[in-house]
Parts: sequence; C-alpha cells; structure tokens
Amino acid sequence: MIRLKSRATLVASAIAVAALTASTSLVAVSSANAALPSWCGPKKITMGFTDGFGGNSWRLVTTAAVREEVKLCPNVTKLYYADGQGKTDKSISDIKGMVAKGVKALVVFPDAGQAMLPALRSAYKAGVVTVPYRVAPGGTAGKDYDIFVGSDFVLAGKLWGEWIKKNLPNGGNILRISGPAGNSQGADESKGLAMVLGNDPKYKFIGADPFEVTGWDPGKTQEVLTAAIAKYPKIDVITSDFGPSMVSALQAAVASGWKVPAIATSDGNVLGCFYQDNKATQADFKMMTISTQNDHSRLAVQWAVALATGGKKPSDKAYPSTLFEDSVSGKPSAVQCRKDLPGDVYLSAKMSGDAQAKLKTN
Amino acid sequence: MGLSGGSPRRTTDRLSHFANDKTFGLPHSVYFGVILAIIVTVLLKRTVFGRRFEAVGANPHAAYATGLKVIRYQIGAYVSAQILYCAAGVILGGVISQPTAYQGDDYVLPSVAIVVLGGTSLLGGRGFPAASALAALFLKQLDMFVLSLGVPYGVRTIVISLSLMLGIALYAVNWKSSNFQLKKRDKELQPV
Repeated sequence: MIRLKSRATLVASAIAVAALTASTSLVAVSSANAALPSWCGPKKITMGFTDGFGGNSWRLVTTAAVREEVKLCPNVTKLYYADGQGKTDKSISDIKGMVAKGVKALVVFPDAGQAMLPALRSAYKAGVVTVPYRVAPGGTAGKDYDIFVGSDFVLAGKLWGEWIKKNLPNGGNILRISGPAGNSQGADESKGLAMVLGNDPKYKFIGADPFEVTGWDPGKTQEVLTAAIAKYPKIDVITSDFGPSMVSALQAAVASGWKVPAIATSDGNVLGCFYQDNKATQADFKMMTISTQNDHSRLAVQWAVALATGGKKPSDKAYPSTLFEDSVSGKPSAVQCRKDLPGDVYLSAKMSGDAQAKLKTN
Repeated sequence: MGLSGGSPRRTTDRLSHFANDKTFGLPHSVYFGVILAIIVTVLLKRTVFGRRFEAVGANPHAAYATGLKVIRYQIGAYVSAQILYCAAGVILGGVISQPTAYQGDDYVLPSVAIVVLGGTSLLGGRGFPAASALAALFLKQLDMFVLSLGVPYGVRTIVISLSLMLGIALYAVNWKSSNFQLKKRDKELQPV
C-alpha cells in the first residue's frame, strides 16, 4: 500500500487526477463533434420525409440518399417516411400525419405543386421546419414554409439546347417529354430550351406545349411516344427529364424499325446500356445526359436539419444542374453502361451503383 | 415481394422479351390477352361451372333457390378476377420493363368502363367477356387516337368518362319508358 507523505502531496495528486480526467473528456467531446457535419446542430429532433410518389427506382435511390444523409447527424433520432403514391389527397394527408407525429423537421417532395401549399403552410404554422424541394409549391418562403430548395431546371433546358444546337446545326423537330401536367421542372426545362433554340426557325418544337405529359410513368411514356411517332413523320430530338422511363418505349419502337433520334435527357444505367446496345445499328445515334440529381434530397435534408437542430445553414439554396454524359464529345464522360448492375441504377448519384442495387423499400 | 422487397425494379430480360417479341407481326402480349379472353369466354358460357357463375351474378336469390352455394361462387369470382389481374400485371410489367409500384392505378376507371361498354349493367346481371375484351380494344384505340390528335392530357380522361357514361346510359336506362326508368334485371333469370 502506498502511503502519501503529506497532506500537500495528497491535494496535488487529486488536482492532477482531476485535470487529467477533464482533458480526456474534452478530447473525446472534440473528437465526437469533429465527426458531425456543420449543419447538424446540438438539438435532438425527429424528422419526416414525405414523397409525392415513391413508386419508381429514382425515388427509391433518392429516399435512400435521404436516409444516408440523416444518419450523418445522430441528433436526428428518428426519420419517418411516407409515400403519397401519386395521389394529391394522400400526399396532403401524409404531411398532416407527420405533424401529428410531432416531427420537428419535414422535407417534402411536392409532386402536386401548388395543390400542396395549404398543407405545407399548415405544417409551417404548427412550428415544424418545413422544406419542400425540387417541385415548386408556389407561396413564399418565411411565410408558407421555411425554404424551398430548388434546382435550376432552366439551366438544364439550356444545357440540352446548347448540345442540340452544337450537334444538330441544321435544325430539326424537337419532342419534349416531362412528368405530370403543370410540374415546374418540365416547365422550366422547356423555358431553358426556348431561350437557346426558340428564336431559331430551324428548330421546331413539336407535340404538346410546354411538354408531353407522361407523369414520369414508363407506360404512359410508351403511349405518348407511340402516338408521336404515328403523328410526326420526322422527330430529330427527344428531350426528357427522366431518361430511363423512355427505354421500353424506345426498344419497342426500334423493334418496329424506327430510327432513334438524338436524345437529350437525364442519366440512368438502363439508358446508357440501351445506347451501347444500339449505337452500332442505329446510324448517327447521339445522346447526352445531365445528372439525374438523386442527391438533391441531401441538400434539402441539410437545410431542414440545420434549421431544426440549430446547425449551420448550407451555403447553397439550389442544387446544380450538371452535364454527365455526352456520346459525341465524351466530356465530362462518355455514355456509361454497367452490365453487372441492374438497369434501374443511377451512376451519377453519390451512392455507388453496387449499393443502389442492394436497396429495398424499407 | 420476396424477390424485390417491395421495391420498384426492372423486370427480367426474359419476361421483357416474352412480352415484346413478335410472332406474325403481333407482340406476344396480344396473343396472351386473346388466349385468356377465349379461355374465360368458353369457361363462362360453355361449361356448367361457368354458367353457375352467371346464374349467381344475374340473380343470387334464384341461384340459391336452385341449390347453388351463392357465397362460394361470389368469392370464387373475386378470386378468379384477382388471378387475371395478376396475370395482366405480369404481362404489363414485361411490356413496360420498369413498372412503377402503382402501374395498375391508371386501369381502375377503364376496367369498369370496358365492362359496362361490353354490355354488363352496373346494376348487376350477366357478363359478356368477349364483348368486354372488344370494348377494351376499342377504348384503348380511342385513347391512342385522342392522344395522337394532340388533345390536352386532361381531355383524355374526360373522353374515357364520356364513353363510360354512354355505356351506362345504353344498358342501364330503359329508353322505351317515357320516364327513362332504370332497366329491371333479365326476365329469364327472375324467380317465377
């Protein structure tokens, strides 16, 4: 047994032990905080994510991105998810349900656009940090919801337009395809296209204005494309903001002897593989894609968590539209196809294709 | 569900090829639909088993009086319908290759419309599978025709609704009566 020689030595030892314990704790806390992203504040919350339509692979990957992003902030103790199934009334009910559950932050994909505004306003007024993203719900930030995290879809349309102008300098007929009627994404993309090509009489927009309605549904896309092929003898370019939804329609049309026109769209493994499978037999088949933006939801999550937990707000208020593949220039990338992965994988996403292939709904 | 975990996924290439490949210029999905329609028509109209279903559907009370287990046939009708819906869903998945989780939602209203257009009253009575199949073909061609005319999307739904109204008006309203009364059930199956 060690005996301390004096009272002074005893006190000094106690002070030394206390100092050592305090410094160790400080290092541990610092290490833990250093791992947290800046948008993850100290307050603990539960959070909700409501999707207007969760029933396709794009939504599956986007929702997985939400879950992955939320996991980075352990102060979000629970994430609730609801799928509106493409029904406006259910989507509204989902928002109200989240508020009733007591979530402190809510990210919403308001597919129905302005029809969702009253529900968003109601959640906002109930004190829930409300962040709609991607499809504009109308209204005013700070009055109807906290912030709308959009994307510059006009730029997306401009990127398509510039590529069309460069690769089809002699002009042509352009068929525009988008999702539900009235969706702001399709409208903005058409606006961007018109800014680049609208004043040039060589380029003519055919089909419905501002776009043919497909609801981003592969079945409806097939119907629309079939009708367009029957109605218009010459289609030189197809633009679409959900490229993979066109593939089954394109395959059926090619099987019937149709020549595939140039395509300007968003990426998907199935589309890239369609290009690779058909470029040899389809003369002068050109394609470009912009990123399909699965990670747009991550920015919305960062905003919602930052506002609800007291974290640092992100610097970006909109998710960028960026080029992904170009079959002509090969920049920033040639058209990609991973035969070892399922077709419904998006190689532009932050989540790897292998991880996407293993995703389940829950 | 066991394979996909409920997640929307692309169908297999084999199913896609089966549904979309052609024989004598027609996709296999068309042959599949025609064969199913023939089987259902023959079963319903040419077999005792099928005629019992018709009897129960036309007049459950009379069918009960003849000794038929009405509840069993009514349940059997729903089960058979579900089996046919599943078969149609599989073929639809093959045609589209990447079906969404709610791919069948767009067929809810048209499925009622074609049965009514095929001559089955909404108030009950005998059904006509062959006529319903022809009505399905007619309605889809009408929809594609309207689409190819460039009619706005919302108008297409109105067109289907108007065709449903026409079908209901033709078969459910007694036009001979000056008061436009709703038709009574088939007299041949009413109790004496």
